[in-house]
Amino acid sequence: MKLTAKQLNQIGVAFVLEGLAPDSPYGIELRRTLAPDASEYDLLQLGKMMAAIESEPERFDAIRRALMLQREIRGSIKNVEQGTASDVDFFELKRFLLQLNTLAPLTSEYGVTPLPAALKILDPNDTAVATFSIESSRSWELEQIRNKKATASMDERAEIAAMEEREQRRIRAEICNELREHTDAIYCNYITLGRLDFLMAKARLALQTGAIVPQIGGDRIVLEGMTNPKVRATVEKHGGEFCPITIELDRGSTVITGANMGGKTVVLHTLAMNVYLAHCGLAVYAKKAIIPKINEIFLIHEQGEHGQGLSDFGMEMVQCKRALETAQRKGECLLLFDELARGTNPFEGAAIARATVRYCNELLSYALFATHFDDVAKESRAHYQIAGLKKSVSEVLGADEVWAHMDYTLKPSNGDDSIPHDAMTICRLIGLPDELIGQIEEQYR
Amino acid sequence: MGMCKNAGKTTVLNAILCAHSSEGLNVAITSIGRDGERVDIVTGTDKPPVFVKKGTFIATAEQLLSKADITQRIMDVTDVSTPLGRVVLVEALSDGFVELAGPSMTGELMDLIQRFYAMGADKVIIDGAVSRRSSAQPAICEAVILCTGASYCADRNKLIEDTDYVAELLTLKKSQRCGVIVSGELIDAVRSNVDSNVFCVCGALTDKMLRPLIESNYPQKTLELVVQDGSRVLASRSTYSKCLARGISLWVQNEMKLIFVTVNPRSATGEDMEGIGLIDALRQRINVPVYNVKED
Repeated sequence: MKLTAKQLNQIGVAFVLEGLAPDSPYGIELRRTLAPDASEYDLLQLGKMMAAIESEPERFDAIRRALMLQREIRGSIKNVEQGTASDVDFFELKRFLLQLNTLAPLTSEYGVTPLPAALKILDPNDTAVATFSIESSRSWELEQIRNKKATASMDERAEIAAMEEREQRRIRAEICNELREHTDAIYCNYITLGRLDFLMAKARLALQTGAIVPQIGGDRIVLEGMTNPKVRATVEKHGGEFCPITIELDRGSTVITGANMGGKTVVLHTLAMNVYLAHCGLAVYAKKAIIPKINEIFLIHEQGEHGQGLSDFGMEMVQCKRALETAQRKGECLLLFDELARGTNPFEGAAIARATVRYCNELLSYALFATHFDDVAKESRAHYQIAGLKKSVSEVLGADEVWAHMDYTLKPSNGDDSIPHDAMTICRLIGLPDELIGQIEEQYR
Repeated sequence: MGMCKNAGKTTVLNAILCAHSSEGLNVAITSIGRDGERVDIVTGTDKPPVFVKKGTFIATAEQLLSKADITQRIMDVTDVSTPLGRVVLVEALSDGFVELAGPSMTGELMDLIQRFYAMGADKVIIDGAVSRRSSAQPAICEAVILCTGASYCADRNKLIEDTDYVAELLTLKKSQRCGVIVSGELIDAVRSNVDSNVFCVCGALTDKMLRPLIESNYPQKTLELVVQDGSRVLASRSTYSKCLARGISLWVQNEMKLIFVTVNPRSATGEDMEGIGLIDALRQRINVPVYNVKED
């Protein structure tokens, strides 16, 4: 399932992910490589973690504080395995092992184990201090050399320092040999802690933003009371309220109709966002969510790449072609058509839209069409409507105030397939010149 | 702070370290840029590396640790990266020679200094350069030592003038007056604020900013320009003297403390300016003590 960065931004995924903040280096790497390839098991883990954090907040705070101190150690592990580790590598590993002592009792059920034997190699005198040096106590030879060094004259210095380094090098190789049998365990712990960190970050995000763990499976997309955090933030900033959306899609075509500016695009985007988040193993923004396995998401007619000498309509048809071909090939895709064929004359446009709806009815995929053409909805398996402008509006508004008077509730159609013709009202509300309004009304008659 | 390579800075460093350790003080040392190279790649001089005493805290790049001959204890690895690896904090468990390559950004330097004090250092010494003089700003440093030498340039007079200039910038006096804070172009601020003759400049003061003031023919009046501290003045010596001639003086919000100046009369190419009374000439011009690196 590949969506471009631009699309992820548009549908609101990028906005949500900004709040995903792991603390350890490996956790951060997992976040960077996040992809929609999660499994049911991942979501199960997420649910469990959310419950765990809620019931034991102090414990998970303590774990988090410890994870913030983690540093990248895979390079040092590799150097030990190759026998080329430096004092700095030993320092990093010793510090990690000490941190492990703090973390292990807090995280034992996640498979994190302390490694006292490995720590002993790097801390033979059990100081438990996070510094590293090659102690004189490791080798009698070393002690002798260092004593000589302390009283050496300037001329003798260079030679004695060289002897010291030779002995230190020998000891380093020895330490590498001893540590080698523990490197696998060290590595495992590091990875496990990183994964734990990432899982905690996902859970924290869900708990802080009110997201839920979706159910996976079946052959119906069910989203009750879903919201879009990105759009919601904008709406609330202007003093409005985001209207939660409830929608169910079976395989085949579903159509949403509604007036202009009625929020049809938001429905499409929010649906795409939640399906994508679920597939990434993240919680979704809804009161209830059942999401089947989807192979690809297509957003048809997003203001996208132009060029190739094609118009908006041409580009849209290209996207449409790609989507339908893939849907045939792979099955179980999510196809989201935003006002298909609006870029051409209404007669042909409506015909294209109707035909496409009919075509998609036969697919295994889930196709959702937002349209304001007449007579398209009746071709589909299901029809939703956005309520539209509230009746109470009368006076002239600015263009940026119309939204405040929209009823964005999405409802299954009550059988009446006609589209509310609100365009006229909107023109009047925005305050087009009266004479023009008059002329338009003439056309209606 | 050295004015050039081979200014004898390392010699001064070694002397300071020695003096401090004999007083029983805990010293920490780091550098901006690389120092103490055994053989100077540019001019081929055998440069002495820095000699530290047991107990000194050092911040230098990872790759230089293997070249140092001190017995080391690794205290921490910072996130600061340099061309020679990450900056590592080390405690010297024995006396020895070490090469320094520390952080290059002033923010990183400030963090490092705090860490040194937290580790128990009494004094922090920073090996710096005039080309990086923002690292000497009062917010970071309490005092500055300026090192100059024959290697700076073959022209004795230019050497004296430039050294005097840097010393003067480092000893600019604190302004007692309030002024207009300049946002945008300096010349515009001066033109639009006819009644004021004190202007506070944020950030660096460059030739480009001063030139319009010198060249314009607006009515002559004395101007006081206030900068944060002496390290922010990046103007050239000639521009500065023209300013003075025009009645434009420079002041600072925070004074810097120049303790003394050292001179290396011997250049990298072997010339010796000692006999020409270089040191005495500088002593006459500069208000702080001037020492000959070789003798004193």
